[in-house]
Amino acid sequence: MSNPRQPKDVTAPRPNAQTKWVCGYAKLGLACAEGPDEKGNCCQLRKDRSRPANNAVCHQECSCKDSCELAKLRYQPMLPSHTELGPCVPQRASWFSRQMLTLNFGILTAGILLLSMSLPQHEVIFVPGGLTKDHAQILSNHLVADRCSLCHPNSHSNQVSSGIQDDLCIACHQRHLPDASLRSPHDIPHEQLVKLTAKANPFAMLNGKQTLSQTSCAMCHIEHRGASFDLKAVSNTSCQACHQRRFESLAEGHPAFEGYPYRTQRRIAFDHAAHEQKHFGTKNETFECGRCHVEGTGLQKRGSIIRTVNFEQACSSCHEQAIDAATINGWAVLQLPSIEAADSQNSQLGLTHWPTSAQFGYDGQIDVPLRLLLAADPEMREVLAQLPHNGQLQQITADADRRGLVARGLARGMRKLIHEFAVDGQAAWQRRLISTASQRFGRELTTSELKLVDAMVQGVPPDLFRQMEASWFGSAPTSVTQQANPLGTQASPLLMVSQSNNDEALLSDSSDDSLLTDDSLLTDDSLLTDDSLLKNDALSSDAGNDSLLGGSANARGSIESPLTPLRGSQHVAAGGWYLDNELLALRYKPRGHADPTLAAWAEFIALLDATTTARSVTSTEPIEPTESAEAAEAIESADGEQSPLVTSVELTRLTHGDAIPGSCTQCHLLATGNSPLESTLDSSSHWTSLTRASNIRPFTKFDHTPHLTLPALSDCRYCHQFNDQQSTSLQAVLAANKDNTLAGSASQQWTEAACQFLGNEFIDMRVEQCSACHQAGGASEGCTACHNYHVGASGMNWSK
Amino acid sequence: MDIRTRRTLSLTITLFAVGLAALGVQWTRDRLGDASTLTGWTLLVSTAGLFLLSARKSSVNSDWGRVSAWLQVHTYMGTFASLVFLMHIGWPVRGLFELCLASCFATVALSGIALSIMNRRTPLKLAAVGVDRSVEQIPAFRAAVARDAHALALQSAEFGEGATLAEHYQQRLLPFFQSQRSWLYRLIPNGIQRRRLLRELNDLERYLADQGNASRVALASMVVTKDDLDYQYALQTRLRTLYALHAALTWSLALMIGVHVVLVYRFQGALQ
Repeated sequence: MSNPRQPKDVTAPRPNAQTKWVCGYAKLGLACAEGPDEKGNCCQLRKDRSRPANNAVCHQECSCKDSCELAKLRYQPMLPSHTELGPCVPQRASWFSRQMLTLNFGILTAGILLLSMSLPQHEVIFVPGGLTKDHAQILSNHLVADRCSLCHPNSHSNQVSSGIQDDLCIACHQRHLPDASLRSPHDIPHEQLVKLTAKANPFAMLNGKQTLSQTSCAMCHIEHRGASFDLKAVSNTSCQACHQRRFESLAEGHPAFEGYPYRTQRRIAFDHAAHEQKHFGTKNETFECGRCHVEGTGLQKRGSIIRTVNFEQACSSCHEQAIDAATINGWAVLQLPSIEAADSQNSQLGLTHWPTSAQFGYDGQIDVPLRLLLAADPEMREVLAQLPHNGQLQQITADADRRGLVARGLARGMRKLIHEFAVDGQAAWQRRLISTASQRFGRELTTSELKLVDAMVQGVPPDLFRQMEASWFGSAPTSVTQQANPLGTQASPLLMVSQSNNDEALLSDSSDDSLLTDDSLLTDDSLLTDDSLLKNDALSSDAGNDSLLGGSANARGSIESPLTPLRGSQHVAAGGWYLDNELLALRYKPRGHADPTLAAWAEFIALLDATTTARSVTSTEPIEPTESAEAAEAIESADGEQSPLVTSVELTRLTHGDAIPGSCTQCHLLATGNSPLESTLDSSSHWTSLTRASNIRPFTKFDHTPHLTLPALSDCRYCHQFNDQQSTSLQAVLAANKDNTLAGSASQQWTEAACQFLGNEFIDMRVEQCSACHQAGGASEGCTACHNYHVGASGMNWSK
Repeated sequence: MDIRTRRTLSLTITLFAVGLAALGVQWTRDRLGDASTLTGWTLLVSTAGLFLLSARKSSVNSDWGRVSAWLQVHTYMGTFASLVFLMHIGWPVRGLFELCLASCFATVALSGIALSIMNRRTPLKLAAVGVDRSVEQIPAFRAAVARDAHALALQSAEFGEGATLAEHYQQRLLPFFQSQRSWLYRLIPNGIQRRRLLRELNDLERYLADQGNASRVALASMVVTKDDLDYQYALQTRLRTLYALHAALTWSLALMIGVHVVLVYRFQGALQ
């Protein structure tokens, strides 16, 4: 029976584990039997040593006894004496040597580590590789907090920080990656990401959980790979970690381009094909793309091609004269309609002072700006709703009484409007426009919208309104002076005084006013009665003829002056506001291309029209563009509430043409996109071609510069080919659309039609055009060669 | 289970584990995960498992199994750890400390591989010599052979033609018997010197009479004995030195791994 305690392992490497030292003579086969002690001292040096070392005997418990080969060696007669061999130097046993070596290695390693940690520049030793050149300066900072701790929140702190490393990354990169703090895929907000992944089925995420997961900077950007490492390089595998549809290369499996690169809406309605064939063709000029699409400079110098140069460089040579011709007679913002003479004699109508030159029957045109101003008056709601499509009164032919009713209503409303302007000046104008817009929007106007209104009325001389009232009517309407401000506003005391001075009727009718007759300040004022300046003042004597002071009987329609009167736009040859006393209109003469006042009016009209379109889209009933009243009723019922503007302005579809002169909106597409309010107002530069801001990173990027160096690609038509399938022209689209809406070419309808045309102007690029070069062994075909990862909401919207 | 079956089974398990680790790394990378953490912990656990052999060798408790079995587990686990190590490190290895750590691991792994090979081949080579002697005994035998050769050379000088043999011994054989072999021989033991000396002794035959030739044959036999002892000593010393290096670096490696883990979790960013 075997002893369980008996070691079974006969291969145990250390049968005599206690022996740390061996005799120094062992190498010569002369090891003493006693051997060194545990501390390695030779037995001959011990004081209690009793026998000579040379009397060595074999102590090994073997059966060989004296026949042992080793024992024979020890007892050979030629053994030298210890004197001949020299002193015994005990040696470590091999296992003990090995242990000591291991211990020494450990101590040495620990020492080196501790020494390294205590060195001032220990980061150099422990940093797991150099930083990229963009981050390399971090390790050269003097403060510890500015070195490792700049990226690693817990590196030099005894307490675990609640912050995470991504926060530190974003803290520095927030400026150029504003949406990175979302830590979502492509920096897209969660809601947008869900919609996008649900819509783009080929690129649907693996599962919902992954869609919602947060991303980390270190997932793709691995630092400490050396100065030359491209930190922004992302492998295709990383992209396809989320994108479910996987493909081998650009040539094989990449989804087809949909609308690329023409998905971005254009703001300049430029028909390339028509210009090449017609305009340039007739002038025998070469239609060169590079004439307008030059390489970017300054901030735009990132390999991009400028979409369009400015008007002076590209368009003025052909279009400037046409713009000047269209605006030479100015723009009638306000023009009196004509009524019957009998109406002016009927005191019940309140039109007794209506200019005689506007009493030749019910006629006249109510343009869009006048409608916008009148629409603020609740009493004008029904009147405006009766207007025909083009605002021409004479087209109300069905019922003569109806035409008269409309014309008289308009006349009363305009009389009140002009008086209000005369009293409050620009403030009244602003008030009316704000009232109109806020009724339509159903909310208060934003700051940018208020600035837009300011721009519309900017530069209108307040005295022009008073001159207008004085020269056209000579007195304030009785109904106006007897009632409160129709809009519920109060004029300032100063304006009230001014009004009383200018209001001839008020003065004439106030002879019984005790405030005037008994006012000693007036009767006894020597300043007034004895003032020779007043008595002999030629200005006061000719006040009846002075349009600025207003109000004489012969001022109704004709102004007498010793000077040759300036007619029409002669008043403001260089542009501005003036009165057309012949046609009884307040006109504005634009200052050529890019007139700010006209631009503000166009934006305002486009804004209202876009809102109208947005509401009509949400309504359940289709709206017939030619049936104004019915359409208004339909929308009213759809909205479920009465909106005075609905019946007066917005939904009245009129065959009108351009709402503003100069054909601005035939080239400049204002109201675009599904969110017209945002597209119209939030972008301050929508009068220029749509240029991507430097902080917007689209999903798809393209650098023209390296491509244009290739001979085959130097011709832009290699990629940008005209769509021959498009049979119509932009001019035809304009003709078909601009006359159908109140806003004309400023309408959403025209903009959408133009965008649709422009979207199909060129043939979409095909994958094969790119993969001809971008293939294995050729140009790069990695995902990031054409796509940005950090897109953000703005970049994704741009790409759409 | 014979050795061949056990070896095949162990190799299969090792390759399966390596494949599983590779799949895990790929799966993690495909999901933008931190594959370094996965391989790091795998490496840490497997490296800790390698120390079990040392623990077993320190113990005399037979219930823990045979050391040879533990050595086999150690060998295959080391193979697994080496392959996971290749998955863990980025190439090229950057950073002074990381480079030292990787070098230390690589040295331990390579010495382990070399030990594994030598453990199998050295016994065969030793057995081919004929007489098996432990490395502790060899110096004594070598000294005895040197003394015998010296005595024989002195004895042969007494014969008439023996001066030739004595002179040859003094010039060519005495350094061979009295000194140790070079470090190159200890690293790569070979029979070059042995053959040269035997050829030279053989060339002396025509200059010696019968008695001298007998001494010459005896000296040739001693040359063979001394060379065999040197060969055995070199093989065993080489194995022991490599093992000492392997064991010593293991503890240095453990220290550096500890520092590495602390640094990683102190500076980590991806797992936050």
